[in-house]
Amino acid sequence: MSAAPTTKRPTRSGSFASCQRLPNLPIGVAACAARRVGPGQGERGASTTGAGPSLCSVTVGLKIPRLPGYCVGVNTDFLRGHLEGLLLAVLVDEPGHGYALCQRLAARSGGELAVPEGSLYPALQRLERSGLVKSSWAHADGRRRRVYSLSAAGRRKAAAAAQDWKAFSAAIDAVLGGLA
Amino acid sequence: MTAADEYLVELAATLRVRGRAKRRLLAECRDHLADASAVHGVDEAVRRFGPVHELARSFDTEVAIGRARRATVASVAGAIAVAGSALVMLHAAQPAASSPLAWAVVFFACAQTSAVSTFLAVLRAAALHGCEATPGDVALLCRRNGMGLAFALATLFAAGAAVPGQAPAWKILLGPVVALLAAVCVVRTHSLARRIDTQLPLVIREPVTDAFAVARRWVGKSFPVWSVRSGVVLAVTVVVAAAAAFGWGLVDDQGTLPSSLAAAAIEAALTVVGFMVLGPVLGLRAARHTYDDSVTT
Repeated sequence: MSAAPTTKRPTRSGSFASCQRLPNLPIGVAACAARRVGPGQGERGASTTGAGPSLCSVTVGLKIPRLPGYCVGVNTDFLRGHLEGLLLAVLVDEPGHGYALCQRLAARSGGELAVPEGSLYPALQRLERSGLVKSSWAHADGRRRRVYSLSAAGRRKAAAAAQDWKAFSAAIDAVLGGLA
Repeated sequence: MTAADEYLVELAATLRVRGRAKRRLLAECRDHLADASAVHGVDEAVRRFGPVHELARSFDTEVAIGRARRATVASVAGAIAVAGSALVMLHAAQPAASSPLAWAVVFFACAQTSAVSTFLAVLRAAALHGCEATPGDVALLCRRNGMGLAFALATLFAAGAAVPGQAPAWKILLGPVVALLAAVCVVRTHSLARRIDTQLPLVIREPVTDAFAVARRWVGKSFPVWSVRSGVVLAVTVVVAAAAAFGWGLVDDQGTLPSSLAAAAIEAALTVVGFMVLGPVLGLRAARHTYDDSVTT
């Protein structure tokens, strides 16, 4: 994962771009809180939580689509920028195939993190392209499965992602904590 | 046919990639759905897996980015090979030959355009390392690679036209052959990007921002990332290019002050014209007729 620069983009009227020192943010992080929604609303598989309006999502180059009118809980939008870090974290213990990683993610999060399970595979492809993850065909559970494991660079990245998250969540807590 | 089988059939039909990558994804999805069906039931397993079109698009885009980065490596090899062939032609020129001014200008303009396009492609490919991107990013990378290769071949042609001579055929042809092979990779990747997204909106990616993002990855997260307006980048580039042309003219044995000033003026003018004409293609600026919602930054 690379950090997302939070620079201002020049508008068509030509406002001058500015330089900002970046916090240690993973890419595509959206500091979104869930919208307050009524009963029956919400994305499939999402947990609905009531909260204030969402905060700004500051990224560059990647337009994270805002789901209109939905509950944007601790799920799709919020997880989009963290999925690679989460996959690296669940691979730290031992290698695994896609379904096993999905189960570990659900188990370790107590069922709170619910992503479309298919979205793991493009994310794993991206991690493999970055050299953070290796994969090979192996026999697991009596079948031939594609098993993923962390590379040395992936282990370092997992540790760095954990540090980034601590700093990020501390910063968000400092802002949102007063609203709770 | 179960819901999982229908899902896999639809996924196979929706995926734009072909070959080993597609077979691998389908095998992994089949295994995943089989495991999930045993626990939650087939319908619930398919629901949890997510929409077909989202998975197909994400996976196709990831494969396309990998191919585009490999095509960039091929393009760099092609540009270097063509540069080698051009040097062979120049060294094989008749000793007393002098090139017409027009062909000399074309030679240097095409060579610099090729170098800049290839450099921008390498920068973008490096910035895309480990990043999520869009089919528009893939198309931009392909355009930069394509421009680099096309202008490299034009440079070779201008070299032959400027100072004719004789040289071993294999040395002259090696460059174009490598460049054409690289061009095939670029065209195939661009074709994949177009199949993924038929609209392929224009993408603008500032090279200064890419450079800082790449440097940040190496230096550390405390490294700042700047975004500089394209007009500022153009102004700096014009000054640097004109100064370099002026200095080169003075260093040359036959150079005089007026000729150096003329070279600097030509260099500055060509830089501005190149930016205005090729800027939209290379993703440096929006074309005048594009609207905000068709341009992604």
